[in-house]
Amino acid sequence: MTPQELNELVNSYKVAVEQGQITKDEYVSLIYGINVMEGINDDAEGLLLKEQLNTILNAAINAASLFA
Amino acid sequence: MKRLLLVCAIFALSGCTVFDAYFMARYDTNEYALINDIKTKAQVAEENCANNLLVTTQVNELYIKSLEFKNFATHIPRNEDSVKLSNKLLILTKDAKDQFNKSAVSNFYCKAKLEQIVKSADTMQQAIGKKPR
Repeated sequence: MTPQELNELVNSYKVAVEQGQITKDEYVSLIYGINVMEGINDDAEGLLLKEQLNTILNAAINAASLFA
Repeated sequence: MKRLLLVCAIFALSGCTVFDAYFMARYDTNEYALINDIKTKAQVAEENCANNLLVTTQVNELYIKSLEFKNFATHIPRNEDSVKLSNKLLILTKDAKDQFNKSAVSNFYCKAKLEQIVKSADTMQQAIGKKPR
């Protein structure tokens, strides 16, 4: 999820609590969930970068082994 | 030019990063199946928000599955990234479980919370699915 999408979610929760569709308790839980989601996004991004680096390293090792 | 930049980028990284990336845990079918199960169950639960009793049972199941996922990922060597992700998903599902069991939740909350779980599980599934074979 992009930061913009997360912002849109936060705004929709704000509107919902203002209109009485959710309780304050539920609102707090949803905002807390957004924070956890941001953490998941960051960690997943880190894992994806590591996977890309793994692919590059393996390709480099394979190429080097061809010349050896 | 691109290749030169790539090589520079690799050498600019610390030895630990390169080591971690090269020896990272491989793709695990069970890990992928567990996260897929969590996402699917959350999607099914989302459809049952009108039935508070049923959806609460399903949210409890989601928490148990997330705990199972965390327990599964924990002792796999060099699998810290998946463990970090599973810990966060467990926090998300535990918060949902606590809220759903406290009192009857509103329809908006039910859908929004389960959507958070679906999106998070989807993000995790994408990352776990791309682990090296």
